[in-house]
Amino acid sequence: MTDIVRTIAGGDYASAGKASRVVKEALKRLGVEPAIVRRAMVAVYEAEMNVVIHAHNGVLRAALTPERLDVTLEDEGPGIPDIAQAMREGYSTAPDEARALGFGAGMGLPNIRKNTDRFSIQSESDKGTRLRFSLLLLPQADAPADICSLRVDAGRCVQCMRCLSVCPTQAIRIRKGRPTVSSHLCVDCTSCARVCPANVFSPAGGVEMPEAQETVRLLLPAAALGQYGFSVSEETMDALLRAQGWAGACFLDPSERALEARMHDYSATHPDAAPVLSPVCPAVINLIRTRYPSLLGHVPPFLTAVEAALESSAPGRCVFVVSCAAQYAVAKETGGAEAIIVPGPLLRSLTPHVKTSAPRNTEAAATSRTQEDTLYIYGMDRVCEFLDEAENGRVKDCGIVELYACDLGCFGAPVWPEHPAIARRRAISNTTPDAGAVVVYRARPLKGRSGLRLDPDMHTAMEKLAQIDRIVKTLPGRNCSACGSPTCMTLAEDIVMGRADARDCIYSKQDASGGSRPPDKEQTP
Amino acid sequence: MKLERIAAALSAHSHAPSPCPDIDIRTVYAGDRMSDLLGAASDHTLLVTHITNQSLLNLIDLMDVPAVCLVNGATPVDEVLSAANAASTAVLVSPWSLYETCGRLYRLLTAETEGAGAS
Repeated sequence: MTDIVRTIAGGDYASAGKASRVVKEALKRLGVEPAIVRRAMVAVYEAEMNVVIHAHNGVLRAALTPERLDVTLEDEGPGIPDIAQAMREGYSTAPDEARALGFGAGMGLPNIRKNTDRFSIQSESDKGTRLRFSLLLLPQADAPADICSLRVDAGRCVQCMRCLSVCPTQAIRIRKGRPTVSSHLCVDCTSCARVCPANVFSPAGGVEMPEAQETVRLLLPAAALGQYGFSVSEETMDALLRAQGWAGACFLDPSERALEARMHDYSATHPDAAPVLSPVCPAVINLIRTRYPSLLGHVPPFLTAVEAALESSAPGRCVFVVSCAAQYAVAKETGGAEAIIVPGPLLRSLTPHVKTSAPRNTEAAATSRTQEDTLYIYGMDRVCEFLDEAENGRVKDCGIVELYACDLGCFGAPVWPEHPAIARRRAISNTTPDAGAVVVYRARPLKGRSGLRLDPDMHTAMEKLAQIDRIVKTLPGRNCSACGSPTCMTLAEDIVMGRADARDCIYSKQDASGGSRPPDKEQTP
Repeated sequence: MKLERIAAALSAHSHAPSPCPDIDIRTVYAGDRMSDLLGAASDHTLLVTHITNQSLLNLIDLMDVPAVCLVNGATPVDEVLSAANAASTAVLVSPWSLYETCGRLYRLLTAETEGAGAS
């Protein structure tokens, strides 16, 4: 990994471009494809010029690995009062000096968005602005596709078939006794992990506690406080981790509350956006991108609390304890965490030492907060039902909505052993919302996920669709999942796509002639 | 179309590097907004612009554009020329205005595409 740090002086037009040049040299040394170098240069140079034109001074940091370039540009300056306006093409507040150099056309930020794979903005009036963006450096063909962050231990499967029917995107199949997950459909919600009796599914993430470091803190969800049989406060947790040699604990809670507060402002200024689907749960965002892309406009342009918390922590200075696969995926994409681990190793190392039982203080127990004017919906089934209604335009009166894949938010994530309601009651959070928490603007809008097409050729795809229609009529329609596909419809699709055989259906006759009539309901072996 | 033919048709003066490099130009982009010029840069694009100052130098240096064309007979400064030499970017100077330069380039390139279509 290469790290580049360069300072940029505001108003120094003569030196503009120098920082970009250093990044370019590094990219070329790595042998990155010229077209990608060019995209990177558009973004880096525009960002550098932004500092020169608008700010007093700034720092460019670029981290380079063979897979990606991560750039952070932090400046001290006037900040951007209205980011949404600044993102609009043609809006500029640049001085004449910049215009003489061909800048100030109001295309800078939109140009960065166009040429990057990830882009976020943090800005505070009269203080400064922080841009963060990333580019994937591998040519498109070699870049990893949408990869789901679920770890699947197929060998443990007992073939109860429960995961098949709970998966909200029908991403799971069980063939020859082994479950597989389609990465282009999986939304990392861990619904499968909740019902699985054999622990086949778990979020990716380290299963060993990393070596304690004095400069590294642990970033924890509030759920981490509620797992010990009595109330534990943030201070207690912080002290425990310090005793183990860490720099202490920090929590997701402040970022969650900052986001919540921002949602109220957003909802007040965007009356047409109702229902406002707050970006609280990354799994729900994945679900909307996959199954409900028409609702993406209802998700305000801000990063989730997990991403915001990671963006505001110095790179490599925290170990993030994830509650689910979706958190793992966004954390991985955001960068900023030295390591990402599942709760197991943390709980194992802490449980013997947690003794201080803090008295329960109702005022401080802010984690159980709920806002009067916010609608809370928990669980993938209920979330899907709500989103169906939203797609039909029937919930415009619902205002701000927080949708969570798990019961009571992350308290109900399957990786946490304690009952969600009990865990939430025991977790005592004292952090105030302004404890360094930030809300980060999502400068690169969320996009729908393209599922896998039946066939790249439209005509062949149509034929396959007709074929699926024909086959589904020959299947019994019980959606029993015994074949290993979640429904008769998905089995028909799997047959046409060559992933299954008509004989996989335990009810269908083996020959095609008798297939059209559903067999008797009661079948004895 | 070969850059050499374009230079000849514009009666443009070709600066650094000489002789005129063997570059195949497929698109032309004319403009004075840096953001647009940065966005238009590719291996086969000729950028036509009024900009002759340090922004041009950065454009050549950072984007590895194959060729730029200045207008109104502007004289490129030495820094630009040495950057162009280092990046092997051809710098043409058209004696015409931006409008007339573009008019000529348009006629030239459409004639070629139509010619290719007819044969």
